[in-house]
Amino acid sequence: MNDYRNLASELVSALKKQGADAADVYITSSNGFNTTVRLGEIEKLQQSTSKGLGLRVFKNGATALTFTTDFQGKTVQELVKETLEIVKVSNTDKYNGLAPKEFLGEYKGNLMIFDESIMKLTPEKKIAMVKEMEEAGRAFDKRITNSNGASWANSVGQVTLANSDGFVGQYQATVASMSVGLLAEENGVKQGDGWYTFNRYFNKLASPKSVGEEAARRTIRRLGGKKVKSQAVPVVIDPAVAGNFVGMLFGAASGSSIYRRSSYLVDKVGQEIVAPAITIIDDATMTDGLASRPFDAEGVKSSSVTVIENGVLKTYVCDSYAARRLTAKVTGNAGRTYQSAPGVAATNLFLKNGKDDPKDIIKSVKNGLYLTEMFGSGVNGVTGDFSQGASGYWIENGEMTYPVQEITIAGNVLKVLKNVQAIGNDLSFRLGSTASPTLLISEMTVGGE
Amino acid sequence: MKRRDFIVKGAFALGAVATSDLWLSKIVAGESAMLKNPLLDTYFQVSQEQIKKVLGAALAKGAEFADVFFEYRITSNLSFEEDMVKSARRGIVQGVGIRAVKGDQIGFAFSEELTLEKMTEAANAAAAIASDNTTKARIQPIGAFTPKNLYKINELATTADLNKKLECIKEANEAAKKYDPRIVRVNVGFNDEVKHIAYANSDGVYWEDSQPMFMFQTVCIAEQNGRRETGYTGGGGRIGLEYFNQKRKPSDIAKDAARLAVLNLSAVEIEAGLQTVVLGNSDSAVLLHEAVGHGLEADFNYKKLSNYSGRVGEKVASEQCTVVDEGLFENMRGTINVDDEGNSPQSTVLIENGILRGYMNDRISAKKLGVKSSGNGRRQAYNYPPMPRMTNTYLRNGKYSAEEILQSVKKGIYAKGFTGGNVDITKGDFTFSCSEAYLIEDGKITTPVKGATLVGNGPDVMTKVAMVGNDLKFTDGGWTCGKNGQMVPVGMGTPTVKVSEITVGGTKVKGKAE
Repeated sequence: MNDYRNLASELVSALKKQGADAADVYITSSNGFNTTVRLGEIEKLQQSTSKGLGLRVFKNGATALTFTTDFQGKTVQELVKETLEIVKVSNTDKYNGLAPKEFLGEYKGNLMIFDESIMKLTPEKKIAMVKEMEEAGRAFDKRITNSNGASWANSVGQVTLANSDGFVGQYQATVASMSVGLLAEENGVKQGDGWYTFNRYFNKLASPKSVGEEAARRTIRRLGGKKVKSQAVPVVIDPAVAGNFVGMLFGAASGSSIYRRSSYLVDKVGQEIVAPAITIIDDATMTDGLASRPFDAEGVKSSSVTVIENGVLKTYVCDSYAARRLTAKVTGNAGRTYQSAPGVAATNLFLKNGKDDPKDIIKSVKNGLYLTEMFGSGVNGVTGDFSQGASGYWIENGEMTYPVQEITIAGNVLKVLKNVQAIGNDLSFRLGSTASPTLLISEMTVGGE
Repeated sequence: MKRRDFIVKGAFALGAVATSDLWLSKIVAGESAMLKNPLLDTYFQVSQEQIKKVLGAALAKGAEFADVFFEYRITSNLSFEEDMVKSARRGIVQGVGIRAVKGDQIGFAFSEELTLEKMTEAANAAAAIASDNTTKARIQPIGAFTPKNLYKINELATTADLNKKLECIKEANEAAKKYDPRIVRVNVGFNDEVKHIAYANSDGVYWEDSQPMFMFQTVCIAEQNGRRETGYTGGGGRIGLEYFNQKRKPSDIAKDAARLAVLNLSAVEIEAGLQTVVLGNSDSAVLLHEAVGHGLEADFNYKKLSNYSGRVGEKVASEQCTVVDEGLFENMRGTINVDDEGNSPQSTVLIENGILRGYMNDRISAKKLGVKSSGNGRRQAYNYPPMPRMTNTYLRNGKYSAEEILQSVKKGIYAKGFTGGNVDITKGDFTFSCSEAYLIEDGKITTPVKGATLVGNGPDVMTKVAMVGNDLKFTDGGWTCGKNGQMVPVGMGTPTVKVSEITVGGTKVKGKAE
């Protein structure tokens, strides 16, 4: 991959020369390969090389952004001039600007986000693994009747950032993933589900066989789904869903939601907002973390940020704009693409492990829901109210029984996290960069018949 | 891992508002009409000879079909908040996607650089899908094309005077603030884009199209006694600034967003459980989109992944239901002159009086099912391969007036505005989320209810459509559909509809005090 540090620095100089008070240049590039196999046959082979650059300027307190995928000298030079034309449309906002100089820098620890071995795998090897994964799933049980396809994807991505305060940084990260979707059929009803594995390191991926078999187990266990009556019951939240609540809370603690007053956490720093057993951390420096990076989208050195400690909101999470608005601290949470200006985003965000074995948590429930999926856009970030479609398994006398489907789950994020009665010891980042262990909530409203 | 296909309002709408002389000087039909391949020459500087070479490379290992898709997209966006233009954004994305097809197998690669060297490299990568060299497809000479224009525009947003756009924004901002003292925050966005496309395939089909898109939106936050609520309204389509004269003024959109924010301040919690639901006309078409639309995309059907697979000719809905996908309505968000594989969109009857008639096809699925492509092969951009997608999907009028429908309900929910929905196409279970809903009591719309979620099973709920109204209305812009990681703009429409029972999510449980 090309080293774009010089290009980025040159463009910053060019923007300054054209009259910018301050500027930054953000360049992303990636190479990737993905393939899908379905029923043993290759369905898709895809190769990609992709790049884009964004120019951001500040002039007289106003800001503007332009971007392009065309890196030719002529285009880019015209774009520089154009950026300084467009900025005239924007208004002065005294909070605009680059991140404070004292925060700029690179985290020097070994993040373990680049695995050279991924780049050396041949397409044949990747296809063979995907076929093995799909086959293992299909052979697992005779009720597995069809496949939605099995895929491999790998990519190496590079981020380059330079700004007019002298910051120049660049890093590369790899990721590989395998996933498979299967269908099961029983009594004329079809059900689909699947499983996946991903990691920054090839040798840390789950084996093709284990992923295929887990996909089959998950698909089969959906068979025989029922609706239930509407009721308020204890709910055990599977880690796959518990992370959603952590993400919702992060959104409300985002400095940009706070200064807009579009959050239920306005004026709550220092207060106990959820159960004292809850601690939530956003750590951009986690070893081999999917969202780990040496610096954020404004060049702020990465760190670990404790957002909630023992139930108390410790800080809002801020990019430099939100921090200036709120006279708060920059937390290194700026995220962006080359097409967009920085905004507040989570990195590796998690609720800290508790002490309880998830099995014991389930055993403690006499009659309740084990929640495995939530879907829909019914989350109100301003109030914390949510109402979503859901599915899971019914718990009776401490045992998982039948699957439940076509239900809803509704409540308020803060109320739910205040009513946490047990926290599992099963935190894992296998499912994504936002994670939580199993949670037991004393009561939630399940909507059904 | 669960793949669900979905739809969202607003949030994912592609940004775009360009006004620069720099990249707009190149634009626009008319002036370049003398050129044989005006867009190809103007935006891509690629010759027909080069295209033939690239297609040849894509076919070299035995593929039966290949195509190239060139895109030059100009997007721009103005964001207005706290009485000022917070940011101005503009960009150009260009690239080419190259596909080689063998049966239902595809090889795909793309490049942002349009040099013959880079395009050939991508074509070689795509060609690798075939390796037996058994078929030798011949490249047909590139044919002429007859331009169509379903997006007639008076004043293209992308070339409009910037000050005029700012006036629209300010008009909206003032209208929202004035609407009610409880409105504490207003955000206005002006987004537009033009996507120039040149397409060629090994069958000799050649197409060019310039697809405009425009979206104007307002978000308001209302606050009272410490309670905060939000309201969102947007409008637009493949239309120019004349939208504001023909459909809604900026202030109309802003006032509607303010109305919703204030309305939600008094919304009450809702009882969870089965309810009779009346769906208002227009945006309620999200039900069709999720309950039947995705399930009738042909790729899911030839692979037997959909609950509608192999059911053509069967009764799958109440006989009052006739569902159509039609990419032909002028200026509508889901309208296309040509799909992304060079086929013309059609009026495709999916369900007729409750009977399943057919699916929405792209080139590959049509071949698999032995039918003609219905012109539903769409892609998000050059860096994604096409697949069957909806355009404008709607339910035809029935015989009841909206009033008759409401009066028939003693107790239920009236749902009118939605933020989005999603579906598991295998079992057909769907969810959709309301942003504006009310109680129905004794045939009358009464108290607003807090953002409820409706869940159900597509095939099941379509049989429970008890009354179809005679007031068909299409959505006013805003909807973006997601499938397998690709987002495309869609339109949809429905008359008022009564569903005899559907599960409504809520925080209250019958007979239990909160």
